[in-house]
Amino acid sequence: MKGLLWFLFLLFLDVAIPYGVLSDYGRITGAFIFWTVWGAIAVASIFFMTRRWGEER
Amino acid sequence: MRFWVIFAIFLYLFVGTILAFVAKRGKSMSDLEEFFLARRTLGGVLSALTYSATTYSAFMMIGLAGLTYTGGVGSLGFELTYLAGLVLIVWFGPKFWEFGKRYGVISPAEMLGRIYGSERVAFAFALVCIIFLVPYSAVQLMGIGYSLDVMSKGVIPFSLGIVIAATVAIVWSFTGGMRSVAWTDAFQAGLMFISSLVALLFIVYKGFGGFGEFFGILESNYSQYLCVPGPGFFKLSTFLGLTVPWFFFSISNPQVSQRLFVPRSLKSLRNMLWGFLIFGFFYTIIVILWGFAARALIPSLDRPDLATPTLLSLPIVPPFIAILVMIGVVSAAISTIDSVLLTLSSMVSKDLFGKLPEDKQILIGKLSLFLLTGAVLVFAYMRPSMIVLLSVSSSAGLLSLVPAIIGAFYWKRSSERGAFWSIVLGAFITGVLFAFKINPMGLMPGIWSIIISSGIFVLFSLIFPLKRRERLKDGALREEGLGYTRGGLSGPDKG
Repeated sequence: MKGLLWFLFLLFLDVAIPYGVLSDYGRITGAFIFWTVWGAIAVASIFFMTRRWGEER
Repeated sequence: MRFWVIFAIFLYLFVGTILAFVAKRGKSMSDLEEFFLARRTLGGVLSALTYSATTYSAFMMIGLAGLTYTGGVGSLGFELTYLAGLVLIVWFGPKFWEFGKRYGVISPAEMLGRIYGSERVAFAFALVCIIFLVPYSAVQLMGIGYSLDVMSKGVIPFSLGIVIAATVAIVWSFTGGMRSVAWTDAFQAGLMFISSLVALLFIVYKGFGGFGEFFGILESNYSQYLCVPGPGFFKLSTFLGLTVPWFFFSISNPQVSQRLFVPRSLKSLRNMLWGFLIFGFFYTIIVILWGFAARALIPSLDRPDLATPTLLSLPIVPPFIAILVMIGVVSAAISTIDSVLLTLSSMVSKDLFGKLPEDKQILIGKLSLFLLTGAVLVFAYMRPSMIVLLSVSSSAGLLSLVPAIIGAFYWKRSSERGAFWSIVLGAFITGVLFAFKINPMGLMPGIWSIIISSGIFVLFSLIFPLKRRERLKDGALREEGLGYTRGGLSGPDKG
């Protein structure tokens, strides 16, 4: 459940930040870096959520 | 140049074919589990590479690069949101894997059929996959035909190119089933990644002088492409309309969800997921930067899907880089086509002709591999407009499968009629919306697909509930008396 809520929060940021605060910010440090970091956080979160697979069963 | 193009193509085909035969060595392809799932024994790394090569088609270097060219940074958000959608594997991966292992399930359609105790659910699932994925494969084949034609300067014309590609797809999948496909996929995933990385680094350093200069040019001349909606393509409704279908790709598309049955252990399943996420993250960024490079170097293209071929034809790009990238694009397409064909043929044998004995099923499976490849080839050659339409709508159409999949594992009250009608009506209505280009309330068909099929699924499940059921430990539903007729659900044996 925690994981689901965390991903819903991430998906909210996924749209809200680039289409909100960064919508007029035409620099590489804007939406490009945001989405790259966002993607890395999403990937890292999946790593974390699955880290014990194969150990507990 | 022409000689080296042909030499490179033959080298690629030669290495792939050797791998396909080596992978098959010593294995008898006489049972379904071996042919379609490599007997569920693949390790994590090999699984990750075949998952990557199957997922990423020619769409990346042609379509996504073109989308970046047209719409800018929104395409990065779109593609990375798809990657984040792999979180669905966290909740569905172990369930698919365990159910498959326990009941000897071969295809995702068969799994749903068993859970809902209904052959028609499996049949509808399989049929929807075939309707949407055969045209999708045909469009991939057309991409190869055009690429080889341009690349070889007419020596390999379109029609010969698609025949070669279809032959390769069938040889590689027929030889050793999933084993051959997995090994050739691994080889092709390497080609896809390395070719695009080398080409990007070359373009950035040769064309711009380095990443700092490249980003500087983007900021000063194309700053609107660095934000959304930016130049206008990525309106919020478009972003959502593209992103929602792709977010569910990992469970809606059978050629990738079938790969959840293949790893030898839960740890291998996890390693497959991790490997794919790493591959996907970096491959996405490479392709997006490639699209930006095209925007900065060739700003006045009429057709964005020509961004990659045009970039490769620039004088600053040496021939060997151009050849390498085009082989990478062909690899991406073939690795997707042969996996789709293998998955669809497993559905034909198991879900359309499931009542036959296993030796007949394997025969039907292999025969259907030829027939499906033939259909893909004919569609690619004739290029009817319906093919392009179905291909474009495939990710949205396959979304109609998602509510039934989620409900199968996570909703006690989900019922057979809910599953069946959500798949049939959801896919049909999505097809109609695409065919007539209808976007009710400004929302794209992909959004409507998930809304409509979810609504039908919930409504029909509530109106027509299961009479008797019990939940198995793995979350699967069992409906006594209506149990799946092939082997039943009474025990842990294979059906």
